[in-house]
Amino acid sequence: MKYDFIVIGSGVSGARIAYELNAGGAKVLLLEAGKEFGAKTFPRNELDYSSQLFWGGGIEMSTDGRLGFLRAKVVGGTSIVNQALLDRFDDIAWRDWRSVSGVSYFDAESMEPHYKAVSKGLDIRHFEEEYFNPNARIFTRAFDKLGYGWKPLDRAQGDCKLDKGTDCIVCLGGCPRDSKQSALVTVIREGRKCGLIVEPEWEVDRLEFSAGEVRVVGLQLGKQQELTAPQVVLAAGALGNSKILHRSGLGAKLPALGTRFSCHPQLMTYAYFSEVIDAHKGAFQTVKSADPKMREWGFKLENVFAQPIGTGMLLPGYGEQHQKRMSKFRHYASMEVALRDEATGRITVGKGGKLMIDKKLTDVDRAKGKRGLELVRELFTAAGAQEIIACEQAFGLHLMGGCPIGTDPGTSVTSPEFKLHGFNNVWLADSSVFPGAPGINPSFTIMALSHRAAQGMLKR
Amino acid sequence: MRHLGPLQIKAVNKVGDILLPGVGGMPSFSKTGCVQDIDRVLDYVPPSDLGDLKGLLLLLGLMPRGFLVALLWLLERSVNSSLPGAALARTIRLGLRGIVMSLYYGHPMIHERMQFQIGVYMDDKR
Repeated sequence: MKYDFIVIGSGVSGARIAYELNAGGAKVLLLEAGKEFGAKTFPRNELDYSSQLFWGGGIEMSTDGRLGFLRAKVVGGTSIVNQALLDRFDDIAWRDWRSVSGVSYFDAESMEPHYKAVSKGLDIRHFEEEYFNPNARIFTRAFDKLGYGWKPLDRAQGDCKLDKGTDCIVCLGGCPRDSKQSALVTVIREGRKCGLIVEPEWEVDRLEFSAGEVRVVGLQLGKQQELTAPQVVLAAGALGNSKILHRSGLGAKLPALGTRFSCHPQLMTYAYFSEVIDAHKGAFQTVKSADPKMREWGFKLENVFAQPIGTGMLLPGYGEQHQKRMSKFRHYASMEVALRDEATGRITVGKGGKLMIDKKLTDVDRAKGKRGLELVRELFTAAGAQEIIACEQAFGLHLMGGCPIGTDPGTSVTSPEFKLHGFNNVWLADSSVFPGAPGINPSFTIMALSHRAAQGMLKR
Repeated sequence: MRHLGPLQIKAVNKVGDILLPGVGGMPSFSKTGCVQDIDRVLDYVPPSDLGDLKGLLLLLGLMPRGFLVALLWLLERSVNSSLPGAALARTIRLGLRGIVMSLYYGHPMIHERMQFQIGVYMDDKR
């Protein structure tokens, strides 16, 4: 079959773009390196979903070993394994992006039609206080006691039956109820009804260019494959897009390739209480900080928790003390500091095409982290915690940049029209185009940018 | 267990028992038998990383326990270190810790001891 577009990557960007192009009458093939699962087939426990749904068999590391990155490898991308939290960017984020990129439409007014468009068909819910579990209540009471602002999270979800005892933490490995509004159960499902073709386990290695067409080269189920189309959309994320473009030999042509990588490093703190908290039960992630001071300080705080393997990895140390702590798992609350980090990371490929993620926390990042962790300690102390444990291992789940958008091809990779600089037939609109860390959950804005980009692709 | 030979399995159990020696109602790593599940983890590790891991485990399997205890202690110190070699030490630490913590804290026996239980309401989907 001859396709008008090949879209590489089925996360919230690729899936949205594929859906819009398909709905606009184009013939679209959506490729995904990972497998496809569904409500009945998602891995049922933390051990299996951690290995099966992520690149690297669970985690990828920065070159200095200080940061771990969690990158989904599954049809639906990160939307399968995240909490479907949706936040619009604020004026601060847009202002900073305009300043770095020179892109004039980065403002709330210009982007609002795209946020509205992608909201259609999404069931966006606001968590009511009746669903706050004890971990959330500790968070909100501590915030109130110390005079900091907080608000409930907005989440794209159907009826999770929280009132009937559902524990949301299950859907970190894929939602067995189809109630989490991942790309799989929204735009991919709708797109398939109208003829969108999705091919899983198709891992793209590189692009080759000739006679106005793009050849996509890679492996499908381990076998060498090639596909050709007049237009290609790269939606494999910051790491995936950077790797593919490096492997395509475009490093010299795109001097900014791989740059401006950021990841909102997350620093967790656990706090022990004498009473049972059961932070893993019910709606386990429901509130966040909403305080201009914290925005200025460069971080936000969220109530969040991890299952036993995640907690075991996060709690520092080992041996008897570590095991004693883990045996009291039900007595822990936790809070995370999510840093708005400086976009100083660089993604390259090393020997044998191996991904190299050079991302270090800068002195500014470390100062923000220190301040955030001190604040969390104050909050847990105010809440009456008996022991407060700051975790040493930081993780990045929001992987951004590598192909930053901008007007200057010397310092950006993607044009304001979402085309690869110097090309008319390669497009990008996912998190890889972020020119800097917004300090806000990126998912909703990725969808909005992708919607905007798709309009341009259809007009080409 | 498809990926590892007897010496490598012995290494995983030795490392596991140092990181998770057993205390109170929580058994030691090797007592759970959780190493039997190791292919559920290793099946998804990229081939080049798996090769490095297998080589490392072969080496660790040959080491006396005292040496392993010292090595794991040193690896733990690498977390905040800027000394040469610290990056590699951190990678090794995370790799070993990842395997051991995943197998142990992913095991139903340990979930029972921790009283960890989660579920999803599905009666309306039947």
